[in-house]
Amino acid sequence: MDRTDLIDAADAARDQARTARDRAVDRPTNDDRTLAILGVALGVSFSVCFATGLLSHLIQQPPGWFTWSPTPAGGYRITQGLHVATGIAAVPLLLAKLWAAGPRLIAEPVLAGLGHALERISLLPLVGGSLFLLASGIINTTKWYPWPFSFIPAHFAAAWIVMGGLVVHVLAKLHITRDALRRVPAGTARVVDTDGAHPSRRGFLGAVGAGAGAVTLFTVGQTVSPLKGLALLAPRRPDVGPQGFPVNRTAGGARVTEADMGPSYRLEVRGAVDRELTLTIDDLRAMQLREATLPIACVEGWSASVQWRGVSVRNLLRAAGAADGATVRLESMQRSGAYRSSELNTSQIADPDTMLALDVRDEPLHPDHGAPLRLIGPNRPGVQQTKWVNRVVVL
Amino acid sequence: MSRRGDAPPRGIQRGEAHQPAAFWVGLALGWLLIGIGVWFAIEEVGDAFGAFLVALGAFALVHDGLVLPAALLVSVTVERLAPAPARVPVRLGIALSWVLTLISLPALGRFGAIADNPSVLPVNVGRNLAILVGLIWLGVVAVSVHRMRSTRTENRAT
Repeated sequence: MDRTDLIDAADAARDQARTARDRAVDRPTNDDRTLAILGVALGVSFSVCFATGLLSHLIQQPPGWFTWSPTPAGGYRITQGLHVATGIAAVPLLLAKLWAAGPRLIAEPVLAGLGHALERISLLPLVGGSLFLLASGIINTTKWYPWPFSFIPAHFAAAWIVMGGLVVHVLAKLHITRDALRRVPAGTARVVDTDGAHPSRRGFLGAVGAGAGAVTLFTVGQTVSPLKGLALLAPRRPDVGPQGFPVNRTAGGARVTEADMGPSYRLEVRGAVDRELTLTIDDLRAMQLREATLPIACVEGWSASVQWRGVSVRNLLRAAGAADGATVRLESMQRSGAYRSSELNTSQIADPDTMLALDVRDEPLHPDHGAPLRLIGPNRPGVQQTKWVNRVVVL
Repeated sequence: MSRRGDAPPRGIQRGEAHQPAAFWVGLALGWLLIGIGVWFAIEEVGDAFGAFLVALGAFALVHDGLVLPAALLVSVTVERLAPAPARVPVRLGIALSWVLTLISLPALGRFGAIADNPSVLPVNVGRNLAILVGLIWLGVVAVSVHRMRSTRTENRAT
């Protein structure tokens, strides 16, 4: 085979690929209109995930300009539940979009200038980052960490990278999306399959919607209690665990022993106070106790509403003579881990429902729920509801 | 010069000079956000930054190089083996079964199970998934049989 034959063969192969691509792009499951509809759905779901994820990040690592309010009590339960549920629902949307756009990976010319090159290259972080975000998020809900990096910074960084790729993609395809979403002119509609062998657009999008609905329905019961019976594929059930609700880290996992929780236990109140306090459990029970039903809402997407009883942090600080407007750091007996302490801002301290709980559901706390004393406050992520508290430092 | 918003012929990219302003704004803003993400990863992911980048690239490569071709292969196989009226329900059945299995994989493997914490992964996901996939395929069979009968009736009538 000489050089001319090789060139002819390459031309023929290219023509064949071009024909196959054009035929695929013509199908109602792969055309501009289907891609535009899936693109809008994905854009909305990724934006919801990004906004709720960013909020969760700000709450957990607040910069100086950010203050998080304790009201509404169930706010974080809703935003984080939405974050995880929307992320799960986005899986079939993303797979369908990648399937539908697959034939367009073959583009001509391969590069048409710097702008085009930057737009094409941005697809790599967009596609790789989107798949990584959804996969790592779902894997994290099962508390499995099969990677050498910490989940939170990697997930957070990937979110920015994906949003960047999304902005490039959305604005580059804006005119095509806008045109495709306008009413399809008569005679060009391809909504019904003609051969019965390929799905119509309506059938394809219906199946994608059914997929998104199914994965949501069978997992969202981990946070929407009335649907807990349908949580067939969820990593948690809101009613399973000691005292009828889940646990993230057990006393054993935190290396908090029975001796730590026993009669020798003392709560110390230190720092900027008039009177340093050292209190036994009996001392705490002798104080005015407050009851409140508050959700415990975990970053992994499960939540449960539970009745708590304990000492208001506000009252405890008053007893120690702390100044109004103080903030506090609560420290745990757990030996290690990023969540062995948390801080309360002034508005959280001012809320009487922010308490150091002794009881849950009319029983003393189970060791895995933070016995003998844990923080529970309205509108806070579960990781900030510090368990096994033995020290309050007024700042 | 083409009017702003005109789509070029299929497979032919617009020339750089014909791109609307939104295209360039998107490039500038989007790459700025990507830069923020990369900077944050360098700062916070630390020593594992390389592994993080590999993970991002690997997901794209595995999808485009493995999952997409496998999906095409399955689609072609269905095209060849399944009777025409059954092809759509079979394809949708495969897609639905795949997506339910995919989101259940970590729970199915019980990789995150903790010995002293029965509240993690308390549900028998394997059994539930088998039931759901079974129901999907009951539906696929029912719809396929119905479509095949309808096609046969139509053929007889014509």
